[in-house]
Amino acid sequence: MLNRRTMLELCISRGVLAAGVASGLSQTQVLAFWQETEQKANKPTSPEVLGPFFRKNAPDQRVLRAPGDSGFPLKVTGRVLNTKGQLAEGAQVDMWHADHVGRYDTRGYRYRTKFTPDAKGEYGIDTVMPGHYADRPAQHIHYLITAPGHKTLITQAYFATDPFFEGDIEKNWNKRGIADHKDLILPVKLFEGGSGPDQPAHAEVTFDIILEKA
Amino acid sequence: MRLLNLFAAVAALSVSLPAADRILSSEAVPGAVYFSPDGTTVTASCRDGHIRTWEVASGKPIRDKVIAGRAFLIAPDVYAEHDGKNNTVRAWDLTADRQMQLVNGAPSGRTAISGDRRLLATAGSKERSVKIWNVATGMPSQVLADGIGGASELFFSPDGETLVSANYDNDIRVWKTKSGEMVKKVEDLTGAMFAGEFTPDGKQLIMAGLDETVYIWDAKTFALNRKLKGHGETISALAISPDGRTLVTGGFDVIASKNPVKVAFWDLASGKITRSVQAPHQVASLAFSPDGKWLAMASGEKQIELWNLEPR
Repeated sequence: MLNRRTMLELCISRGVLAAGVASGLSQTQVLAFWQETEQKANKPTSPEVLGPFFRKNAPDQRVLRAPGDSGFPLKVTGRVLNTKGQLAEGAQVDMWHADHVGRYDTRGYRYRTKFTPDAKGEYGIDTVMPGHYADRPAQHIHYLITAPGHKTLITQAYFATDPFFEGDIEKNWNKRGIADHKDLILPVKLFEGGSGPDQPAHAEVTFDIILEKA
Repeated sequence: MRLLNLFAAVAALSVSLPAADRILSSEAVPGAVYFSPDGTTVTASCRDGHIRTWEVASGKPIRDKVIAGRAFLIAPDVYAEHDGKNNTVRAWDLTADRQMQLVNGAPSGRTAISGDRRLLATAGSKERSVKIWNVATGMPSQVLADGIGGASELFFSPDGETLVSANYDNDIRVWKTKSGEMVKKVEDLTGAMFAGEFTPDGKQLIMAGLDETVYIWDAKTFALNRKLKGHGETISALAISPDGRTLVTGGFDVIASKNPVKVAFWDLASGKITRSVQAPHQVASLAFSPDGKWLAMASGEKQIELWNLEPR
């Protein structure tokens, strides 16, 4: 079975028709393969609700975790692109979440930020793992992303390690209707800490955001 | 003597009373609460889908209406029944037990009805528009572009000529219902407004929400008249007394949602809190009786609390 990379290499070196002939696939099949893989790769990020705790005008801050914070350190990285794989130029990202015991800061801007991704569309935020709270018992980070020429996206990122999912995402991803889309539940990498205080044990997730053209 | 003075001082500072004057027991947590126009009964839509009515004098339940879908009381005798699958809303006359209208193309979310029952407004939580419907025909008379986050509050002015929608994106939009013209957009708030009402004379618009502040606008010019600070918690419900002199605000504790919360009585002339009482937690709804003598409160427990406001 040809994988996407092999197909891509064949297409680049010989042209699509030649690749089709060489692999025994018809031109239609090659086209269908391309369309399918491209759609998968660039599927727009699923939407979620905004929730009641959004606050406008958050400051641009990339380190939300303050020294001495009790929460488990979490690094969130990702890219903001559109469905064509292009940079969503001028994108602005609001991110906000509850603290480690599930409290939102409604008076200030703790664990809230609004930023523009870098020239490659990449972003990185140091924060803490959000806590659970009664009304939404799954840990999550809220996102609101705008970019000129693109549809505004409101979504949320969840964590595969969340006890709420009981270690079985396939079975429990939509438990109690909390998470609307399975693709919003992110795999979590856990890192043991180093010896120094600046090398704490931490978690990392990657959340790539794919916007639709308006 | 000194201890007694201390007690007196504490009593003066802590104005909360130990308990409500009357408790109306409910089998499920009530949401929206209204007094009947004659003030003899209280009705509430509850989380189990029932709409329950109690007699104020005896505190006893007198009616229990079971609704098939999700239903919200939107006036003393009108409830909206939402069908999220088919995107319909039915407005029902509770007293007559009669369907007033069914509107198509109204995703589940907030619903409001004008005082004369001629106009229905709907705003779906994921739909970025507000619709005004003609109750007589069931047809939309206005489709208005709303914010991006879904409506956090939706209500008409007493004369039905103005519609206000607050959005979870923090903005407030004010429309003329006849023309659909947006006469005001408030964009400088940094928190959603969860509760709002016009004063009974229609001259002022009062709203409050996430940022713990009460905002009072002139309802003609929509200039911000005053900001009242001091509630100290996120405000999720408010009510204005029929004489327009008292505002009452209640909310929830974002730090611990099961904590008791404050319900504050404001003298609107001075902008000062004159009394506060304690509610169990998460105040969903507040309502004055038409004679202004009672306040009904739904606050997260399976009951409605009635507070007698007559001077003692």
